Amino acid sequence: MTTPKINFREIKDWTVDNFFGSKLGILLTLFSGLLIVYFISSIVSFISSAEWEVVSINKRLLLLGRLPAEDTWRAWPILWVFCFVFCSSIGAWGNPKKRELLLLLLAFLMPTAIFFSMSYIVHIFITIIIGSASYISSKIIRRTLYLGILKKGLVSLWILLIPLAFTILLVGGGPQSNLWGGFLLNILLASVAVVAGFPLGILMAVGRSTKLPVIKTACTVYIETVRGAPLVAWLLLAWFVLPKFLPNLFGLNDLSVVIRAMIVLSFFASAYIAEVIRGGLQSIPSGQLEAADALNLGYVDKMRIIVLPQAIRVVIPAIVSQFIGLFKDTSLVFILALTDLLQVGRIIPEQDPKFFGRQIEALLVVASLFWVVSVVLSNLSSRIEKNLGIGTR
Amino acid sequence: MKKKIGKEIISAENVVKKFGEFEALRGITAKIFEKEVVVVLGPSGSGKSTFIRTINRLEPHNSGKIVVDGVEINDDVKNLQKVRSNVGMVFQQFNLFPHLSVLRNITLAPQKVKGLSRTEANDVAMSLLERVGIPEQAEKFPSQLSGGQQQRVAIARALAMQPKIMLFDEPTSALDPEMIKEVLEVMTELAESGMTMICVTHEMGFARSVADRFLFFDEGLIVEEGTPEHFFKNPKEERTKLFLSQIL
Amino acid sequence: MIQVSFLIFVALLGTYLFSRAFQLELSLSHFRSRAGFGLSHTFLVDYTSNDSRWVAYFTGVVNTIRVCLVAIFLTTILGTIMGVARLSKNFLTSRIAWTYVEVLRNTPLLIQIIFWQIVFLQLPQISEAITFGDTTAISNRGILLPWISDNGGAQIWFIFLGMVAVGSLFISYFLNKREDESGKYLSLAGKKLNGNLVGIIFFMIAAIVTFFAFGRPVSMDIPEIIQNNKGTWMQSGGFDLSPEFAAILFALVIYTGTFITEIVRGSIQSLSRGQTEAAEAIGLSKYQAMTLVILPQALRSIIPPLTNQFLNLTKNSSLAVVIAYPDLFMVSRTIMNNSGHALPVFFLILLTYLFLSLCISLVMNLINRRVTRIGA
Repeated sequence: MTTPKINFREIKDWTVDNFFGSKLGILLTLFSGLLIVYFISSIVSFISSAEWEVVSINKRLLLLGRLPAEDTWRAWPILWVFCFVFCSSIGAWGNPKKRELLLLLLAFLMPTAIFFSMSYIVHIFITIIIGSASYISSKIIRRTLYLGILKKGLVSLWILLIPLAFTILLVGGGPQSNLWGGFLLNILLASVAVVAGFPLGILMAVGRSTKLPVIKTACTVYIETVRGAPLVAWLLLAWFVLPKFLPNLFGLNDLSVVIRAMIVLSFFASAYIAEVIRGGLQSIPSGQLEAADALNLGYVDKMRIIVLPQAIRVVIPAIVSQFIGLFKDTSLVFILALTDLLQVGRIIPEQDPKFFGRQIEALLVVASLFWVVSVVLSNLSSRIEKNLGIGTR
Repeated sequence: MKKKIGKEIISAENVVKKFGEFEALRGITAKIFEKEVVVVLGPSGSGKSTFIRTINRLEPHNSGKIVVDGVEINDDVKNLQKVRSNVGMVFQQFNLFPHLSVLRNITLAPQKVKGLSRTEANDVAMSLLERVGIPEQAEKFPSQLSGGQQQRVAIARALAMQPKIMLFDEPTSALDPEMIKEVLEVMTELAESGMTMICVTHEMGFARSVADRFLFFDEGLIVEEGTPEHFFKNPKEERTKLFLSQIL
Repeated sequence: MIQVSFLIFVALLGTYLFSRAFQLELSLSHFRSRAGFGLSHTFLVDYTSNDSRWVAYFTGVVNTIRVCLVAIFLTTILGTIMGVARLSKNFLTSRIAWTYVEVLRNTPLLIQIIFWQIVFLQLPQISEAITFGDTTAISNRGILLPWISDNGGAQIWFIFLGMVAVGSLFISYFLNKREDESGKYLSLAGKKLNGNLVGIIFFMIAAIVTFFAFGRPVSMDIPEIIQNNKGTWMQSGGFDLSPEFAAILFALVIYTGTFITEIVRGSIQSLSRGQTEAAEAIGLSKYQAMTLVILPQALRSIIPPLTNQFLNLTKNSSLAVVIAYPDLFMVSRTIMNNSGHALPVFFLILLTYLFLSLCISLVMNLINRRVTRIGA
């Protein structure tokens, strides 16, 4: 790539055109400039007076909540498994450009830097190694004939990820679910909600789209009711009412709050996912359905083999965006007195006299963690969208 | 048909237009005269559309000088509105306003820009609709019309401002074959009535019978220009011959 | 046949659930008893802790509606401005709008609410409030704005003003119509007078004249901050924008604004470039092209997702519970805690939110129908 010559006249023209093109342009530039200056100066003045110990001392609290210290080791295998599956998937399916890989690495490094602690440097190192190794090896396997097996294996691993996480957390006398908290809790809640809500969402979407009036009404009522009330109200319902509705078997009416939150979140997610999938179903050209009927496929087969795979592929970006929304919504579990990341960030400056008044620092770090995850996921979904658009058809 | 060609009305001198690094026009010099019908030909990407779009500054040119009816085209907004009132344009995609009726599409500019009253504008619009042959469609909306009818409305809309010059950017390329004829008939009538026209088109039959002059574009430059006889019988340049052999 | 089995399934599930439910108290009769708790914001309702829980709940609903209406109004304005800014040719402006969307869309609303609460709580004490001249004061007790107070006869004056307003709307309408049809317009000293402008001027003149004619029915209520004889600082008069209300308002407006920005931007961008080009080619100015061609078309694809955002905003207002702004959710929660009967209260909440959503959807549907009425 030849380096273009710097044409100063062009730069000047572009600057003048874009910044000072007209009277309005000049006003806008002045106004925007003032705004930027104001923001940067307040940020700078804040940073110079900030004390970050509230974050550095409470790293474990923020990330894991009230998980007992002796159980901290459990977080690492979960991270490693996730890292393995995630990086292998990128290697198997994706075509990331160097710049995107770099951004991904940056996104991982940022929270690592914030929560860095020397005692875990080996673990961090292992994470990086696992990530790069799985990415590289899946790229290698991609060129061979084993790609199909790799893809199937990875898909099953994705599905098994959550039960695996649960096992790692609970095996060998692990901490009760009430003690799960911090960032781990938010991620866990969001993942369970989307994964559990997905099958129910599919059923509801199909149900709402049929012509059979009874099923259609029932599904519509379910979806609209769940979407009609705010999530906090549903969560409160879990607290007060859910135990009374569960049968007395298997100790089911003594479920921990975390499990109850997961149940409610799953139902909540299923309604929104149902709407997303319904949009996908509607976007399938009727020619597909006609072809399936012409081949004499039964309803279930038609749905299972022809319609749903196409519908779901189309709405994957929308589902990822639901995940992002749900991830942000997990901060609402404060109403159940669960200590998620946001709650920890709020409580520490209020309860620990050492950190009185350091609310903004804590809040900023919490916000940036949420932000990083959301941004990475939304960029991922637009990347997937691009891939699907070009690749498969 | 022998009509009197008038004085020079458009002059382009060394016009250059770049899109980033890509030079779409590399120094175009041409003169267009009143009542002339000029057809612009060339392979795709040769700069034909870009050229006529610089004439009403839908694309601002980077260097060179363009003068239209005595007004130089530059960033001056007042000048621009004057020029655009004098130059009508018909697009390949019609670009009718879907939320307005056919009649309103045509009366919009005369009312808002020229200040005509509603009744005056309506009269102008109806007479134009008659001229293009579809007066009965006045109260319909663009989506209710066929492609050929829509393009004819677009021509009427452009004529409503009583321009001295009409630009046509591949007006029939988006039409089904059976509708091309009706649009070409309107354009032919327009040419015979003495309108100055610059057309980018692939309709050779139309071009041959109506054009006074051809401009052949290739890779951002005018390679050859001349009368229809000259063009089809004795093309000078190799590239012209190559192009003609591909389309005829 | 499938339907039959499905029906049986639903019936079984329903019976089970209902049998469980009947073991719980299902009526709302406890709502008639004394509430027993105070509310920090009472608007339109003179609520005291001796009133029944129905009154408390109603106060909460009023608070919710208050926040939602103001927030919807402000966030639409913010979102539209930012959406247009995002498309600006001016590099700085579009980048600022882009940053706004990217940063604040991905941060949970709850965090933003807490952030604004902290900001407002860190405002100076009332004894050192920031003042603008003698009229407004900003402190951690809220924002004090000058308001108007009734000097007798204010209500009649307002009614009269209403009539004047309707009259000036008619004047504007007729002048615009006249100009549209015959091209004639009023002129003053050789310059053309816009029909809308004439209407506004008429309204202003009439308002001033009637103000004095009615003997000055209202006067400015300038808030005061004084120290009473015990040394406590108090504020009186004026209009008080409490920190809680301000915090939830700011957060809702700014957060929802990011989504509206993207909706507006996407809508304008999805219009083909050809429309702008055609409008400019026939000589319309940039402003005329925007108002006559682009925005009418963009509005059509803006309204449905906009409605969705308004509904989200209404449900999100329930997060006011975090900063103790007594919206309907917070009040319900207190009642639930006090009475121990959760299920019927929950049904009430569900119905209320559904009702609010329906109202918003209805209004937006009317607007949508009006906007899409022209054209196919």
